[in-house]
Amino acid sequence: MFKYITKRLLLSILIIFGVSLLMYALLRLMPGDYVEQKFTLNPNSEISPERITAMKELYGLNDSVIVGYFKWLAKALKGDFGMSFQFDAPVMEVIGENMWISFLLTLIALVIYYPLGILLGVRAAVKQYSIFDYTTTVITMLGISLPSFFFSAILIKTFAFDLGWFDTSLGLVSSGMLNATEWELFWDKAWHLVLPMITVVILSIGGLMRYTRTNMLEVLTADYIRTARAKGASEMTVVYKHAFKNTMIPLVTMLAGLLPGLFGGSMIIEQVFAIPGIGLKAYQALNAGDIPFVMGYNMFLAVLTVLGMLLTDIMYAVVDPRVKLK
Amino acid sequence: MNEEKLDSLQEETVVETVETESEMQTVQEGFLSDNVKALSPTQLVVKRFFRSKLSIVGLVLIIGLFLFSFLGPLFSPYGETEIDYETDRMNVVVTEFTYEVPMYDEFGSPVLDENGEQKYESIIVYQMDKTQKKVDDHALPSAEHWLGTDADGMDVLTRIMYGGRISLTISFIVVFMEVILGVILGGIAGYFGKWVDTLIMRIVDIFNCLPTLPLMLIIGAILDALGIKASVRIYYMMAFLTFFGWTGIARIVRGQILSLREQEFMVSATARGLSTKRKIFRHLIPNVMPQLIVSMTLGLGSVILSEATLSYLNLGVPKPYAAWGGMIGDIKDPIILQNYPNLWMPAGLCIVLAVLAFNFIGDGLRDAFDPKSKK
Repeated sequence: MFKYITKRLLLSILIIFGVSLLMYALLRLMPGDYVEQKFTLNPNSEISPERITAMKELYGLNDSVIVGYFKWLAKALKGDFGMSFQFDAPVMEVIGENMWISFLLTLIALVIYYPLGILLGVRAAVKQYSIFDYTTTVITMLGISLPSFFFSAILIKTFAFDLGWFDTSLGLVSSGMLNATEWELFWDKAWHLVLPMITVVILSIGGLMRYTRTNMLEVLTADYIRTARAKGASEMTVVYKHAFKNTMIPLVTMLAGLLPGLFGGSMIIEQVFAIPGIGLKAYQALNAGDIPFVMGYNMFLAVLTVLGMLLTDIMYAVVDPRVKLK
Repeated sequence: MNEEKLDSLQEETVVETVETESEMQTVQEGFLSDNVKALSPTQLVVKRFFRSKLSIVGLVLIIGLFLFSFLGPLFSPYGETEIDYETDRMNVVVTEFTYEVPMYDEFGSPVLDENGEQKYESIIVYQMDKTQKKVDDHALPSAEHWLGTDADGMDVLTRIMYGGRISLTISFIVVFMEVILGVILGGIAGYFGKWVDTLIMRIVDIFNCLPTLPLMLIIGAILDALGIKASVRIYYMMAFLTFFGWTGIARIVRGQILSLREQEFMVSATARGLSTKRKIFRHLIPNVMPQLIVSMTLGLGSVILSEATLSYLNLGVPKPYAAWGGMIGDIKDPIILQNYPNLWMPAGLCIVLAVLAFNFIGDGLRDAFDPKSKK
């Protein structure tokens, strides 16, 4: 186990290395004076010539791609991802400050859709080809097929504009909250997270439900289930005690793979609902050509993805005693 | 009740196996009597596919969308980027004027306040200016424009058709290229194993860790910086979508080939002295096809979603060209979001229908290909 984890960690470092190299090369594909162009053309930018030089230095824009990459790497290894132009703060600080609201949003959505998706999936599998199966299949497939921005737009139009239940004009805060108490502000915020949360739940539940259903169907045809039925176990026991436990294995391991989604935020949903999370920051940074932030954010996501993959494998060994990690 | 269900299930299974076995025998030996209908494996799959209602729904939807997108524009009086200048609608501007006028009572004498000065009252006058509209923009659905016109005065319905052409074409091209790349690389990795496998799979790992959306945004910025023309931009996006999307296919192909490689028929192929090329393309790839076709179909849907997202973020098909995602992008203007659902709802519905249809078909194919499938 220890050997396996060490091996995987070394491999992860290799992957991260590859990701950063690829990303760096991509950024270098931009024309050489792109940085200058971008910031001198914009009359509102307050980027001093020193900042431009510093950034050219950080990204090694004066060196060749290889030399430049290793210079960037040396700084990044020390945790120095540079200053974000857009937010005027160190990149890691901006990420650290803004990821919590995204985390909260995704976490609450996860707590709702994970059990619900599993439950629906199990029910659909047990009653395969019933009306319930078809209905949940169609509805959840609809959820998978919905573009997030389109679904958010429908929600905003219906619930915020037509029904007036939400005030989405200012993002997470209602307009006219001048002398509100902290408690009121908290409830206001929570209320504003309802629509984005519904979006995340509807968009994510389909995949999970289908996955559970497929797994459950497979488990239900296994020999030991027939044995359980043959020995006279009630249907409840067969489904929820015998079959469900094995269905849970991939579902629990999948949970670990959700790590990047939990902390990385969702660019589109946060942009549509104007939630000041990490996704929105990344979107703004990308639009503004804030290269240090973009590079830092992408590395952050890549590290999370690698960690998620590693955790998935470890979880697999933890949950399923038949699996031995080599 | 449970036992009943179990019985019926088993009965079905038994019937199905008998059927399949007899069919297999017919195919292999070919001398069963004529009253047994022989079905080739492909025919079996087709038969099973059409047994599912959802796959038929998906197929009908896709054919419908194709006809709508590719034949529809022939019947439309408008072009993709044609601005409708003909309109009898008026621009109405209402201006409010406030005048202060001296007050008079009913006998015509001035009204004085307590200080003995003339009292004034304010009168509000509205002036309504009507001017002929130059462009038929923001038109509501009518007989002339079935889905109205957008902010630039272009016919929405026609643009949806052209948007469909783009989305459907892109999805097929991107998936096709992904499959070529994925099959070649996954095939090489799975067949040759050893360091080739390690190398290719590490590259796949690296690609899997690349966050697609932020990367596409960076690429969008690069394309802007390089001054790529709007009309060819989409080809670059297609190339990059392929470049980041082939890893899934490669994994599937590799996994399949790894397990197939060890089977008897491959040993026999080696024993017969077949060339590597022949072994890969005649013996391995056909066995991977079922899985490949399923993931291709599901891939079509996800490419449509990616393309729509990119266009929504102004990174895909640029204006004035039409794209479903781009048309929904108009909702960044809250007035359009609230008051002109005819501008963005239909495009969104088209995306949902297309993706849904591909998902239905993919699911249907998966069940049809699965020999264990009971239906």
